[in-house]
Amino acid sequence: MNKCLNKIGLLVFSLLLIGLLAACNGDSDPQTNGVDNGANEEQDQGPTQKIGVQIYDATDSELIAFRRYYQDYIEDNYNVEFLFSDSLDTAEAERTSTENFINQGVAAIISFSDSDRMSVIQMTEDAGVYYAIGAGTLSDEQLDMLSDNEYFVGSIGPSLAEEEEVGYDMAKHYIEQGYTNFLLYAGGYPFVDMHLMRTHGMIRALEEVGVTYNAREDGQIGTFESDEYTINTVYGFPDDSGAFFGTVAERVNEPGLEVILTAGLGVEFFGTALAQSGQDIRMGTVASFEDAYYEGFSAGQVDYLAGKFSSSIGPIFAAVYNAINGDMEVVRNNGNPFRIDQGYWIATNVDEFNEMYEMSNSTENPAYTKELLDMVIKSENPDTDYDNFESFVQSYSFDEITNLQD
Amino acid sequence: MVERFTNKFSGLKRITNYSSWFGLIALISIYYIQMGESITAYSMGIIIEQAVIVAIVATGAIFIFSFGQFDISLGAATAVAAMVSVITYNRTESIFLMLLASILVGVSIGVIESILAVLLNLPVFVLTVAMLSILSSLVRVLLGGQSSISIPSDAVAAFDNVPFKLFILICYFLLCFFIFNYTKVGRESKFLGANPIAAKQSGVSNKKITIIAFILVGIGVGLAGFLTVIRAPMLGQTTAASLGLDVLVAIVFGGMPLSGGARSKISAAVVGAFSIVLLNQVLLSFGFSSGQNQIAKAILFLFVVFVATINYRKKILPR
Repeated sequence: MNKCLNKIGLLVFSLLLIGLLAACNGDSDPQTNGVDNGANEEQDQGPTQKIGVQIYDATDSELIAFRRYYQDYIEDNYNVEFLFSDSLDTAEAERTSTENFINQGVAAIISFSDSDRMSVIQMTEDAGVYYAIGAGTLSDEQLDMLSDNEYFVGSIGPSLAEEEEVGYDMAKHYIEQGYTNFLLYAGGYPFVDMHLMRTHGMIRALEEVGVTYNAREDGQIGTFESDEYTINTVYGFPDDSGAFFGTVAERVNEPGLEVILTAGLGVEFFGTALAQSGQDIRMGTVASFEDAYYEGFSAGQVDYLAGKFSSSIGPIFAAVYNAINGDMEVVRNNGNPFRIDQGYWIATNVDEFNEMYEMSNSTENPAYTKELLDMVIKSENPDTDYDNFESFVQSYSFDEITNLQD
Repeated sequence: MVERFTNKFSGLKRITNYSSWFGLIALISIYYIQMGESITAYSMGIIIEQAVIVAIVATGAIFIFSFGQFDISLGAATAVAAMVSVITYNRTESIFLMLLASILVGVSIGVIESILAVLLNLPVFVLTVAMLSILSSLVRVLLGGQSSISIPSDAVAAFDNVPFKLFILICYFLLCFFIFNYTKVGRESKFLGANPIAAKQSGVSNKKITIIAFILVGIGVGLAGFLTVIRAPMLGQTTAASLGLDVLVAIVFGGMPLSGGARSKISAAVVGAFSIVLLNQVLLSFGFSSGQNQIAKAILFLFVVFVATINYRKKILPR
């Protein structure tokens, strides 16, 4: 009898759970729970459109800044709701996230994840969900394969050529100032394309001043030879053993080191070693205008940053918003998905950084405000077209955006 | 009076034997109410896709559960099988050899675990904790210092469809269903779970049942490894990381008694697998974030275990 009663208990609990979930329903809908913002109330655009956002690391400060821009600014100004994925570190997780978004009825997915992108794009086409790449690029071959995909919107982000140029400019910046002793951090070289290209840019700048680079047969970062320049290297990522940070500390404490050039993750991986070294060492890196770099610039650890800004993902939202509103032609490049380069903001001193940091992190007056985005959203500006959109995206520098705002 | 009360509830008792099915039906109903017109054949396919791998591994794991043990290394074993199958494909470009390699790895892991359990006379649970650590390390070794290994998506695209995956699940389920319900192995497994001492005195070999159970689970792990690669042909360190826990939760949600025994049923695996996938979708549809989703599932899991084991709490500890 007890067993029977236990099962009755289970059954009752199931019913209670159903009731609880039903009760939760009212809280989950921003249209009915009374927390919706004024902007949405003023708009009479039908039901809120859901947009899924796939991210590779939910704890990454750059992605946290992106999230804040979408949820604290875009949601307040457009009739959309963003659903964010967990950290997607495998193709399996990326696929599951896509499936979950499709089942939740999203109209579009903006992706910052690239574990198995082409398969995901195929899935979204099958499901009739728009897909756009929020940061990154596609190869020519991939773009050709997607030319007939009416649900693939396009990509905005630094091209691989742009990545190479960023590394080149950063290294050249220090070479021109007369520094001769460098530590190069190559990140995920040769497996992570953006790290590979940035490192190649640094190597090119060094070769231009007479440094000989000896590539390795296994594809890993090679060695440098020069009478005038001293160049050491570090690559890879931390693991459980702690060996990575041991190597970093050893390299940072090499006598005579003047400049650390990193293909990414400068403060994250070198900040502690730099602080402990007590030496006057410069650091240039490619990252984003976020808190860790504010601290880095303030402490004098970093003095060159090629970085993304939090609202740099505004234009891809505008493209997706056009698509889900049925204005796909605005974001069609001669009938094909677009691929537009968007580079970095460059700060070469603390004053420049602070100015850019302030605009990057403002949720009241971000770089891409509603007024700017409306310029390329068809439902707000019927005269807009693809050419307007393309030139709008390409005007990404700090000065150009400031001018647009004025 | 107690007898009268019991008789009065005998009809209800029959109904409550199917409480896990009612739970599944309730979840289907809630999902239907929540999603309404947005439910399509495509979205139903997604639910099947997400449930198949868990269902296959859980189906095999029922054999271990039936004699009162459980294995927490199944996710890691699946990841190893999947990685070996990827390496095999990259060397041979043969899908058949890829499948074979995955099954052989799954079965080999099962044989090693069971032999160690038998030789060392360790509780299976304790052994699988050690195996979890070993297999997780093996995953890193197989990655060879890279963040991922993969095969071309095109190579397995032909198999990446719901009918094929369902076919694999149904075949494996029928095999396990037959062995579990219509052979001596299945009966002895349940007997061991119900009363290990009586089973031993009746001549049931704990060692033999353990080895056979692990081999059957190994076949499921191998199939799951193969399907994991078909589903996402790029594998990393966290591939199948949540599978082990999902299998445990699925089996409990499916109505499998943790102490095993006569009430063990193979259908618990499939019912449970679809239940947790649907529960996940329902929670997402209610606006739960993935973190809240995990907490809700964990609380529900604890509650189900608590209620289901009130009578035989002393029997659920690993033996």
